[in-house]
Amino acid sequence: MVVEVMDMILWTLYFSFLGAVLVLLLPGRAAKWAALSVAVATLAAAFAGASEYMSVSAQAPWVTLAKSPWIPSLGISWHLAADGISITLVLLTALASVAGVLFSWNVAHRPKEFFALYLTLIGGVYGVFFSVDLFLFMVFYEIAIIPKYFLIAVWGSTRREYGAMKLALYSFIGSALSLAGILAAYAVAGGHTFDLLELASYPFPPQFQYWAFPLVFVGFAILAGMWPFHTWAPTGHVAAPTAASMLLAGVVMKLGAYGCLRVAMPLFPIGLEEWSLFFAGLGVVGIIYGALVALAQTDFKFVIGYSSVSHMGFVILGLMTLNAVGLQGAVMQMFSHGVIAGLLFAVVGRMVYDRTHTRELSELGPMQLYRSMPFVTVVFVLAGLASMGLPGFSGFVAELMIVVGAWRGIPWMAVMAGLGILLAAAYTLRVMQLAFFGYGDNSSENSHSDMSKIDAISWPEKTGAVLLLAASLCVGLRPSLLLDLIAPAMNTPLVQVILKGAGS
Amino acid sequence: MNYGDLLRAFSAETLLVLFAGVIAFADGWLARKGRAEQLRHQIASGLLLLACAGAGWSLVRVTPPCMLPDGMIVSTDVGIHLKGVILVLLSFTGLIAAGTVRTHHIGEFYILLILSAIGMFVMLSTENLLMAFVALELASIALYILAGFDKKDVRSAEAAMKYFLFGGVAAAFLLFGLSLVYGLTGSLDVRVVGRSLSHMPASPLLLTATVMVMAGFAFKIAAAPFHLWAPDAYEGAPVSVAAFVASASKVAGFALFVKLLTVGFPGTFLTRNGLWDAPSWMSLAVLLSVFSMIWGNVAALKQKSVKRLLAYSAVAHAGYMLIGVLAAPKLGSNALLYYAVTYALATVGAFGAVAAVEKSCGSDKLDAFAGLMRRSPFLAICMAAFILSLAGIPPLAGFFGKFYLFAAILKMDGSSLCRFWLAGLALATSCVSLYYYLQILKQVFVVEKEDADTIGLDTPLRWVLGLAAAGVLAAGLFPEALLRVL
Repeated sequence: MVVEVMDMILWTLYFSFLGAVLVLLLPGRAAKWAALSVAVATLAAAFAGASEYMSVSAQAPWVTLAKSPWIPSLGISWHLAADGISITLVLLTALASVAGVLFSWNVAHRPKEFFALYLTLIGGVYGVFFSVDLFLFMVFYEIAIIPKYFLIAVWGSTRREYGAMKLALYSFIGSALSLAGILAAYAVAGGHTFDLLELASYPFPPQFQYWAFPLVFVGFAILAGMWPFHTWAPTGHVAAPTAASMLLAGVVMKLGAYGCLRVAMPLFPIGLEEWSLFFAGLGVVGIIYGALVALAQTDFKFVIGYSSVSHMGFVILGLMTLNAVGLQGAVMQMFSHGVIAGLLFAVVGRMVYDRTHTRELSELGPMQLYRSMPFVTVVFVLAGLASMGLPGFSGFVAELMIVVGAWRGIPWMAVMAGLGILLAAAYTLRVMQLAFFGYGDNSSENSHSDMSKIDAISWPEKTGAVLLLAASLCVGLRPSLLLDLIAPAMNTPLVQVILKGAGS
Repeated sequence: MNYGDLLRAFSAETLLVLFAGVIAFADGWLARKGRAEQLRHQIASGLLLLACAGAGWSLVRVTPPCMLPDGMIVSTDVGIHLKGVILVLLSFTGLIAAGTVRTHHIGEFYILLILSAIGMFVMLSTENLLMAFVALELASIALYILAGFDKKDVRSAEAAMKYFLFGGVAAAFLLFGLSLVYGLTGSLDVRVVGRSLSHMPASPLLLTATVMVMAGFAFKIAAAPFHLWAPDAYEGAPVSVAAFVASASKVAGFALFVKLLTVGFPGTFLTRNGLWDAPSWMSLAVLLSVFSMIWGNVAALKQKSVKRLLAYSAVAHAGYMLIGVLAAPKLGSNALLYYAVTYALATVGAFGAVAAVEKSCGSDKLDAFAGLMRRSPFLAICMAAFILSLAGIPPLAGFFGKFYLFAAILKMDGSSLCRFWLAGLALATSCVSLYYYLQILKQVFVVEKEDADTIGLDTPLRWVLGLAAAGVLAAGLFPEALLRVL
């Protein structure tokens, strides 16, 4: 029984790919309904799987979902498994995908293709989170690249073709780097298997690990938006249509961080130890740099784009603390940032931009949106507070855990990360003020009349916003909801390798 | 072995020749009756399909294992499977040609295609230097003529002339090299040559022979810096011919050369003071591979014509396949052949799509593909499958092909070939290639053209595109099935 219910979580993967085909076959008007039902179905499957995992996690933190040979001559198998980390991210993906469909309810231009690509992207993401075989991992990882390109290039806005191409090339270069390292590991380990569990138990020579680790790690970290390879993120996010930027910030950047945690770190524990201080430093630079740049932006969406870079810096720092608190914090932060950044992009891209047709803070200010869009303002204020890491929201728990984890290892980095939290408050409050409340009240009368005829906030937008806010609040008020999932995963072999390597 | 056995061993080739004759008679008769060219195309391509089916049947059923003295004909399972691949590519080419080639000499066109395929058949089954050369020339000369078949287009004449001149020079190089090898070893049988050369100390003569053979080889497979004919030939020749040159002749060429090099030429030369492993064919292949990957991918970035773009990408892919040739002596040619076959399938499909667009817009420039998704969704989706497979995106065959090649070269051990750098360069250049492949797909999916009318596909072309796309997907999803027979 247990096994069968756990298998249900794999339906997230199958539903998404089948849904993509289904959407193409249905008439265009039904596309969004089909996509929504697929997304809701995957959310249900993800919740069912997660609750079942909770009940077995104490005995079996690592659950094999499927294993059968695929390309035996290279030692490649269809090997899927889940632990608390991947289930957390699957939950995040499911939430983000439902919200993304809701916030794309007004896509009228080529809707069939939009939702088909959208579901393909989601399917690739689920596949990465379940893959244990490294070939399979890379297959899903690269399947996710091409839909991103088209989603941005066709349905995007500001400099969309540039942003899309930059994003696609950065992703592809990153995956090529990781692939090179993985292939080298395969060859060094004798060329029998691509199974992560078997490769992770192979003692790679230290000399090899010293250069293979940064190769694979940087390859994945490019997609996680690690400074100085983050530049695809702001341009990509800004160019993307709302749902795509929600997925990019919410889920795709986590693919990179997940690759670091699942592949690069357990494969090369000695290399990891050697390099951890360096990459922790890059993480901290990312936190501070992203926050400072966000502080100086004049485009609403760029503020959120750079804030993503800053928040993902926390994830990198959390991973590099190499202790259980820091790692759990990093996974929490992935979830938290996924939900909050998704919400922020939804507010900027869908709720504000689609109605005002500008994202310039200097033009938004005089409109005094808090009068014409009270709901949006409340949502943004709440999301902004969550993004700042105020207690009660998920961001607080996550960042606190990362800072505590960093304090145990590298205290001065914890101090710098704390500074980053302060800066986050600064840029969030600044953009909140400039975008929604404006300066003074001299031009308020006429602009208020301009804004009186804007469309009301529709039910899908309200549902999506409430869904994401509720997720952040639930986790913030009761962190054990997620921690009960993540903590058992610290006992799986792949995480133990990391923790033990650091302890010895 | 008596003549009856010989005939049965050659039953596929014989059937093809017979059908070539039938096509000549049938088409000549129809031409004298003054029938419409479309009908003549249909009948000739129908007969070509029949010929392929018959030859395929005889490959499966009749051909006995056969071994003629001096390695003249050595039939192997892999060779027979590759002949099957050539037949598939031949029939695809014939179907593309039926709707697109502008010529009055319809019968001759299909006959020459068949003759070229017969040359490729012999290339796949011989292990004799002289036989290999003759077969290669049979395949090539037919292709030179085919490249110039569009007599109303001056570019077609240019294509044929360039292809012929470069190919002729390459043949001279190759023949010169092979004759030196014969002079050194006194044998034309590749296995005997291999045995004697591996005991022979390196000499200027042997080095000259190696360099000459590799130069001829590089011309034939369009590896940089011997690729100069390829862009003009691909652009000027009728699209179906370009498709055949890019696919079938690549498969047969690589299969022949990997056989000659791995069996006939030692990877390392003996010198008086022991092992001296620098200037063998392997180091030349490394150089060719590096040049091709860089030059092909960088030059493709600037192209506006999709056919030229595919030509430069073919140069780059030749570079990748050379990596497979390098891995072959130790690990077998499995990775190379998988790559070559799936590449051929994707390329034939891509040229088929170009043929359809060119027929409706009269241009193969990038902007002729604008808004293809609206104009013909089927064509656009097939095109996406071919291009993404060439770019190496999963789950299409190109991804596993590249993955396997790079894994193979990294798995080789204990050689001074800078194998990791080679794999790294290959990965880096494939990132470059994504840019220009996406340029095509950007036109197809992103750019919108209001006034463009829909593109009608005739049924044969629709089948070719659909089957090739399905093949590319299936080979990517189930590579094991293809690996087992190669």
